[in-house]
Order: sequence, then C-alpha cells, then structure tokens
Amino acid sequence: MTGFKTNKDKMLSAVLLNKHLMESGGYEEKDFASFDQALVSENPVVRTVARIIQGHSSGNSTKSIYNEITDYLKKKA
Amino acid sequence: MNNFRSYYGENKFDFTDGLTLIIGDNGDGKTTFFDAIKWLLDPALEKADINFISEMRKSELEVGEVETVSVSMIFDHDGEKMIEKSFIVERQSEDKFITRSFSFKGYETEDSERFQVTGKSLIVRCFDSFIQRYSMFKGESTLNVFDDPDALKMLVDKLSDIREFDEYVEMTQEFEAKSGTAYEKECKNDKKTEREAKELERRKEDVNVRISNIRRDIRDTEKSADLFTSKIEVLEKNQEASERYQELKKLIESREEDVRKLRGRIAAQNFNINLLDKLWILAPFPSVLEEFRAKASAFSKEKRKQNDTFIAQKAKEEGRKEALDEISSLANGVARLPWYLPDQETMQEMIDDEICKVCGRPAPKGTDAYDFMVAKLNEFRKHLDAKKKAQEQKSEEHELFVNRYIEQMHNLSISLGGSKAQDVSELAGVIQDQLDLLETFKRELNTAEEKLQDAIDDKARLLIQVEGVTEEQLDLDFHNLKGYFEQKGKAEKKLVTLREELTRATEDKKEIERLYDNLNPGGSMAKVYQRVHVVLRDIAKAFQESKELNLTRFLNEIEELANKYLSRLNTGDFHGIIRLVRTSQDSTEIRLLSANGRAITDPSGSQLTTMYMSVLFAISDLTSNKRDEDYPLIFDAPTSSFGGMKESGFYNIIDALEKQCIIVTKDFLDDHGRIDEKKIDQLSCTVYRIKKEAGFNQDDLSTIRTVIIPIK
Repeated sequence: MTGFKTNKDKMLSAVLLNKHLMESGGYEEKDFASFDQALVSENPVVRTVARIIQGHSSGNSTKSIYNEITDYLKKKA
Repeated sequence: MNNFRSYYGENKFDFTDGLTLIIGDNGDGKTTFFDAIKWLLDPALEKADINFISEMRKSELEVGEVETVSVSMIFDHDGEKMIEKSFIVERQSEDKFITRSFSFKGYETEDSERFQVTGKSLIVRCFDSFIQRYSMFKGESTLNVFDDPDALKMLVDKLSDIREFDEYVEMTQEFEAKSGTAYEKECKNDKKTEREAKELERRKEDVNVRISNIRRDIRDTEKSADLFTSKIEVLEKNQEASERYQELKKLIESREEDVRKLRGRIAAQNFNINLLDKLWILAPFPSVLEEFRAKASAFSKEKRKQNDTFIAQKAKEEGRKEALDEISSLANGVARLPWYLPDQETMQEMIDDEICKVCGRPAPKGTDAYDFMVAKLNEFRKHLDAKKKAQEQKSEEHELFVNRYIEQMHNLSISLGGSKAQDVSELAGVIQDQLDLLETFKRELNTAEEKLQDAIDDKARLLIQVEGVTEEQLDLDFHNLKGYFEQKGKAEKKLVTLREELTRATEDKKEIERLYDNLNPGGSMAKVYQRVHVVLRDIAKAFQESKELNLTRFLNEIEELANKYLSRLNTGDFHGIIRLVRTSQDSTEIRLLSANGRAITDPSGSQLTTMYMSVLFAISDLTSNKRDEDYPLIFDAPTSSFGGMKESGFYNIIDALEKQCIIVTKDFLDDHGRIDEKKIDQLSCTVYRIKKEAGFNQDDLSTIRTVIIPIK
C-alpha cells in the first residue's frame, strides 16, 4: 500500500497490515490501496476498519460509529 | 522589549539562523530576557503586571505621565508575522501606579498586505503550547521533558507517525466488549446454546472477578516491590556515593580540625602581650641606644668642657683678687706682715704676755703696742670669718651644674649597654622568627582551608550528582539493605505467582471466549452477532498491536536521532547510549547506558544535560519533519554543571548545528565579567553581551539598566 499521507491513511495501513487481522479477515494488501477504496471494500474487515477511522476522524460519536459498523457487519454476516 | 524590567527604553535582538548567544553575568538581565519571551508567547497570560515595568523608567515618571511596556517579536512562520504584548503604566501619585490598556496583537502579511489578528490566535496557530513545552527551557533541571508523565503520550500524539492511537484502541476495545455482550445475550436466548452460554457466563464472571482481584494484587505487590526497589536503588545507587560521602565527611572533619589547630596557633601568637611582656617594644632599641649613648657622651663632654672653663675662670678671678689684696698692702708703703702672721695662738700669747715677740719689746696693756696686737688679733679673726664666708659663698654660688642629670644619663647609657643591649638586639631576630612562623602558619592555614574547601566542594558536587538524595539518606545504615532485599524478594516471588495466576486466568478467559466463539447457536441472529463480535475482537486486537508497534518505532526514531546528537555533543568524550525505556504506566524514562547495556547509574551533570538536550534536539528534528515547521530552541543557563573544556566543546558543536537555538548564559565570562574573546572567536554564531549600565547604585533598583552590546 503506497501513497498514504494523512494520519487516517497511516492508521488504516498500520492496522490492516496486522498479520493476524489479515489472516482472520482474509484480505490482502491490494484490497486497501487507498482509503477511499477501503471505505467501499467488499471485505468486511477492511471496510469496518476504514469506517471506524473515517467516523472517528470526522468527529462522529462512538455510539454512532458502533451502530454503523455493526449494522454493516450484521448485513454482511 | 520596551521598558520591560531591567530593559529600559527600547531594546532589540536580532536572531539569525543557527545559534545566538546572549552572554551576561548574574543580574545582567538574562532571566529577564527569558521571562519576557515567555510572557510574550504564553497565550494564557493576558493581563498587565505592574512588576514588569522598568524600575528606572518608573522612577522617572511624573505624576500623570504614562509609559508603555511591551514585548514584541517579528518571526517567519509561513510568511512574516508579528506579535506584540503591551500595556500602559500611569503614575497617579507619588507612590501609586496603575496599569491599563493591555493588548495582545498579532499581524500577518499576505500578498504584501498586513492585517491584524489576535495575538492569542496567532500564537496558538504558530507556536502552540506543545511546541513551547519542548522549545523553551529555564535551567538544567527543566531539560528532562519525560519527567512529565504525560510527555510520552503527548509526543506520540503530536509527533509519531500515526497519532491518536490511544483513542482508537479505547474505542475498538469498547466495540469488542459491546459486541461480545450482545453476542452472549443472543447465545443465552438461543435454545441450543442457552445452557452452555449461561455456564460460560458464570465462568466468565468468575474469571473476570479472579482477573480483577489478581490485577489488584499485582498492582499492590508491584507498588510494594517498587517501593523496596527504589529504597534499594537509592541505597545501591548511592552506595558508592555514600561511601564517598563518608570518606568526604571524615576528610572534612579532619581538615576542619587542621584548620582549627592552625587558627589556634595563629591566635596564640599574641603580639600585644609580647610587645610588653617580652619587651618586643624594645625591638628598635639598639639604634635608639646608640643615639642615646652618642648624645649622653656628647653632653658629658660638653659638661666637662663647660665645667673646666668655669673652674678656670673662677680660679682666675680668685687669684686676681688675692693678688690685688697683696698689691693693695704694698701700696700703703708699710712693710707689714700678712694678716695670717703671726698666727692666732702667737698673737694671743703676745697679748697675754704683754710683749711683742716679733720685735721683742714689751707692750703692756693700755699701750699703743698692746692695742696694736689686740687689733691685729681681731683683724686675723675677721679674715678667718671672711674667708670662711667666702668659701661658703663660693661653694654655694659657683657650682655650674647644680643637678647630675648628665651623669645619670651617662650611667644609664653604660648600664643599658653590655648584656642588656645584646639581649635587646637579639629581639629583632626573635620577632622575625615569630613573624616567619606566623607566616608559615598562615600559609599552612591557607592550604588547609583550600583543602577543606575542596573537600566541601567535592561533597557538594557529590550531592548534586545524587540529585534528590539528602545527606541523611547518604548517612543511612546499610543494614537496612538486607531487610529491603528480603522484602523485595518476597514481593517479587509473590508477583511471579500472581502473574502466573493472571496468565492462567487470562487463558481461562480466552478459553471461555473461544468456547463462546465456538458455540453453535441455532438461531440466525446469534450467529450474526457471533460473527460481528469475532470481527470486532480481531480489529480491536489489531489496533492495540499497531499502537504498540507505532510507539516502539517512534521511540526508536527518537533514540536514533538523540544518539547522533549525543555523539556530536560529546565529541572526543565518553557519552554512552541513550535508551528510552518504557515504564509500566505508559510513560518513558530516558536512560544512559554503557555499550554493554548496563545503566550508567551515576552520570555527571554535563552527561545528563547533553543527554536531555540530545533528546530535545531529536524531538525538535521530529517536529520539523512531521509538522514541516521549524522552531527555535531557547535555553536559559543550560550548562551550569559543565566544566570549562566541556562548555567550549558543547558550544562549538551547537554552533555547527543547523538549528535555530538561543542560549542565554554566563559562560565565556571570567571572574571579572570579561568575555573570553578567544573562545568567542572560535564560534561563528551571533553573540550579544548584556550587562548592567555602569554607574548604578548597588542598593537602588531604579538605577539598573541592561544594555545590549552586539559582540559579533
């Protein structure tokens, strides 16, 4: 993953490059080539992480972030 | 700076890139400079302070007159900017001054147009409190920025590659817990997993209580172990210092005794007593005696001379009188016998016999011859009386020297000579010997006092090195050490057990969670919640691990940069290796290690200072890199623990760094306040000398004015 500049870009990269998460999430580095791509990723782990970071950096409340990602994950599950 | 404390009137410094040195002696205005900058840059200080006005200017103000106190700065930060803090002071009466019209303004230039903003917003934007925290340092003791327990978090948040990890970790852990609770709830409501879920819930509650208790015990035991460790560390760390302290204490006592003895010996040289009791007052006597003897001799000679002349004169006069008497008798023409012939007995015999036995003729009573003889006898008696009277008168009237002072002087000069004079002449030698001895004692006292002072200085240096440890602690009985070791050992054993218990309990919890995760609920909702929870659990774990990794990388980055600076700041000297060691409270300590990895437990003041400054330079570099902005580092007296050589090397290296750095110091000044120009010549930086304007009154603050002299 290249071209990460902002803090949220770096955060996304650092978390998604976690070896255990990659294994359990079943995704690869190419699945999050950019933050925007990660936000709409088909992989629920990539997308959830991106949504958490996006929500927090946008100033959303913890509750609304939680609701957003659990709603999404429930649907994906 | 206008009329700010000792900076009377308008005062200006130009700070170039790289190092600027402001050199001043005690009381010359160094700290005032630093305080002025602090006041200007602190956005929280938004009020006037009457104590800031120059006392000199204040004393000049007439009643009703006003003066402005201000500090301003023009700086480059994404274009030229200026900030200014000011207020007005008015003298209302002889001893009443008021302040008013405080202002804190900022100015920005954009497209050649200058416009005003609030000073506060400009500072918050350009030089926020975080940057200030790591940019301005007053004295050596403020250099260890990691003394602040929040420092690491703040630095990581501001400067690490990825910021705000803490918030994400906390948030995702909350998501994990929440989703877990939701999943467990679904499992309990699921007919298929209800029983197992309830059992797991019970076990989970149990294990949570267990974990909570163990953690509390661990915390308590850690505290206890830490306490004993710190006590032991104090004793061990200071063991060498303590032994040295004991040595120095004995040395000081012994040298104090030497000094006391020598002072006693000097005091015993009581010249006042010797002056009279030992006749030292007569030390100049030989020359006085010589003069006295010469004078006594001269007087004696003169007396004899005068006496001889007198006697001669007298004799001459008497002889002449007698001669005249004789001449007078012969002048009568009568050849008579002298008055003393015949003698008194013969004449009395002739009168009694009534016969002149000179001519042989009878001279009966009543005859002229008889009367002649009687008259002759009377004349004889008259002569005798006259002679007797004359002799008495002579002895009374003709003694030239009635007193015998000259003889007394002569006798005294003789009596003072001989062995007495010899004794006295030897006094000078005795006195000189005593004075020499006294000088020897004084020299020995000086040496002893210097040695004593050296020992006292050594003790003071030792106490500085063991910063925070009191003399009483250094005096501690090392018997305590054994007890502390035993108690620490017990605590550590307990900790091992507790940590093993915690590991087991954590494993149990993981097992329960795994069992939870592996439950096979019949209901679809429970299965959905199960999957959601597993995803959120893995995500929370990934955030936590990434945070740790980020922190480790960040500390390594600071370490790497700091060690480069440390090496440069100590070129040619031992400097050790900086390690940023994480402590259990998510904070960091800066430690200095030797190449073998062992901690340098007793670094010198200059080692510590260069270590802290290296970390600060590293942080500054990171700030520049991460924020793409440069900030000056401002130090007030950072090198007070440095020796002369170390000091020169230090400044030469700072001078060579491409970092705007302002150092206010009294280094480069000799004991008389003169600048060491040779050392200054070695530097390429801007140098100012600040000093009190000459002619001030030592007791009158209103005569003190700092003058700024550009040196180079």
